[in-house]
Amino acid sequence: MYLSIGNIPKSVRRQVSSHATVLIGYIPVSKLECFSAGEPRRYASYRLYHHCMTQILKPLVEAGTSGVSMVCADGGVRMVFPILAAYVADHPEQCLVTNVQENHCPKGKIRPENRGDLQGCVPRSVNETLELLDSHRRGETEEELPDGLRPVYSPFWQRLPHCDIFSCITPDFLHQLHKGVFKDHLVSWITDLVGSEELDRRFKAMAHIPGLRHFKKGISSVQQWTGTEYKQMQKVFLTLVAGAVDVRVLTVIQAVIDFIYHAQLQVHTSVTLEALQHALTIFHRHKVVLVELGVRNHFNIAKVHSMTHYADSIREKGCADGFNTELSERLHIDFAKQGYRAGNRRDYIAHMTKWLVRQEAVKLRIAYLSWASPSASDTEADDVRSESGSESQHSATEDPPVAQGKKEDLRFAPAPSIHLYSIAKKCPTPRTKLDSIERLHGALQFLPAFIAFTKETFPRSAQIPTHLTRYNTYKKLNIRQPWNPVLGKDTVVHRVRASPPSSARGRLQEVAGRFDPVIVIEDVKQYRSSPPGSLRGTYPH
Amino acid sequence: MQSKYKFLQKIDSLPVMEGMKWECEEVKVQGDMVGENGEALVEKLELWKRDPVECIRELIGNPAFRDVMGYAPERVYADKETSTRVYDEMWTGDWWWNLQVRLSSAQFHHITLQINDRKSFHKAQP
Repeated sequence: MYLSIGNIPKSVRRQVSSHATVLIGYIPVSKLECFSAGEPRRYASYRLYHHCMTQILKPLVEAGTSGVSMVCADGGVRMVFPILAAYVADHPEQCLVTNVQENHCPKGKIRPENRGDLQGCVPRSVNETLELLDSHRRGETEEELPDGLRPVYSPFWQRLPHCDIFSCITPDFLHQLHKGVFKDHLVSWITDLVGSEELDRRFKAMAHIPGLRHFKKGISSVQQWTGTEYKQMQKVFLTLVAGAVDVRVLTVIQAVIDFIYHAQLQVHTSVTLEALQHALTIFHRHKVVLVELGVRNHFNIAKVHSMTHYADSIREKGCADGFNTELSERLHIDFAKQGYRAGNRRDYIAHMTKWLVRQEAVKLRIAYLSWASPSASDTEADDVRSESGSESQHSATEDPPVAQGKKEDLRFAPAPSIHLYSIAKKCPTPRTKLDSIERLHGALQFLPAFIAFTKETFPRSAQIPTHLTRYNTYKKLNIRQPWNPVLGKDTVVHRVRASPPSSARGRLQEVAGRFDPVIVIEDVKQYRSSPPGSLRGTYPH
Repeated sequence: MQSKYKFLQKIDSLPVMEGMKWECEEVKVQGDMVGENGEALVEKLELWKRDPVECIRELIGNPAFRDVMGYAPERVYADKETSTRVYDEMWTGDWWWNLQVRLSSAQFHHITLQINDRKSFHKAQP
């Protein structure tokens, strides 16, 4: 069980190295053979979990009610009231926490057979739930609890002050959207429609474009699916199946991918939230085409239903990237696995906690030393870890280190000043002849175009290029897109390749030329005023 | 360092964060099945835990987070006319604002918790 605080920004919280999320306990797991198999054993395991959570979180009851004075990071002393705000977990655990059967919605009371609808999921209420559990315990109501509740009578959240456990259940876009709605459902529906060989064929036939992954052997041969693979597939999926399916199916695919992209935004506005909800509406309006085509006869799927709660959750608790279920997996590697391997495998929890205490003591010492004498070498605390490498399977975006110095409110900061384009520092092919450019690069109009460009840009220059002029040519151009805070801290770079073919020489094989197409917006006004998708105002046109 | 033992001794003598000590609590589970002696079967389990309030104290007081920590809820807008609301961190969300207002008087500073679980640890072999 790991814990963090919402006061720490989400980009810091999700970095393992910032130590913003700490281990607070281990829930014991047992086969519970002292219970008869079936329901008694199952219910016992739920009650065991809730009992342990109650014990772990007990100090929060008093602290959340009366407050605790704490010295804060800025040196100020504040009266702090810790309130449970979010419980980050996948669906089965969300159901364990909220005491709900897995075919129901942990956040609301919708009936399982209606989960395919857009509306109708009334949020659960803590008071009402506790009352229902109480009367069931006293035998005052029927055999089965309503709303899919489980008979666990002392859920750990019943005494936590101001805790609405149902609103603590946050979006989990890795499992729900990437793996669930996209891969396990949408892609498999399309595979049913199109056939897996045809789909693979289309993936293999994709052009090689920098920034887009080329699935050489199609998707059925991908062994390990991580966040990166899902995202790479989403980038191309819609255009890939165009022509192979009914155009109404394309609407469904587009709506799902739109939803997934919006759900991951790291900054939302009321406008983007409307767009998110709109994508969901479009999906629900058009999903009936899959029924007509015989692929599905219902949409009562937990992960599909979970999408209906995203917009509200983001408004209540902030963007979904603050609640990353991948984080526990990465922390698990650090805390649990390494700690386990450092011991002799017996009495392992005791060993792990001792290992953890020692790790923390050393890190504390290092932090103290670097504070006391900043010139001393700042050995990264990661050196203390044991040899087992961390197999991080996290998504492609790497976060930059914690901001030091002035508080960075990135929302309002001007875009970091960056050069708009970059090329290689050392020219790979200097003094190229005109003949090479015409022959190998295929630029037959290069000289007249360059002469015209020179006359226009440097009208007073005495030098006019001739057929003897030589040029420094480069193979790649990187163009940086203007920084968009909504997409996080990364800048998007477009890579344009222009490398001529080279014939076989000795052991080197023949290499085909790679020339990426570029569309330049010549007339910005005309382009912007045209309908989207139009090429007016661009070159070549 | 002469030996691993001495090395570990030295590490164990380093100051630690007092509040973040581990404790082990016994959990007794009594089943519905009866044993050979006619008594209900009982299983004893270990619950290892730390004080969450002390962990929070360490987190909120960590000087590494000095320049980025938020302490109070905010309503953020994208424009002067406050027509477009912005949501990103938890303190920009409605829940924190509404809770603080509901319980308010000016002195309050809520912090909020979130919990991540790695439930299946014992099922997968480390």
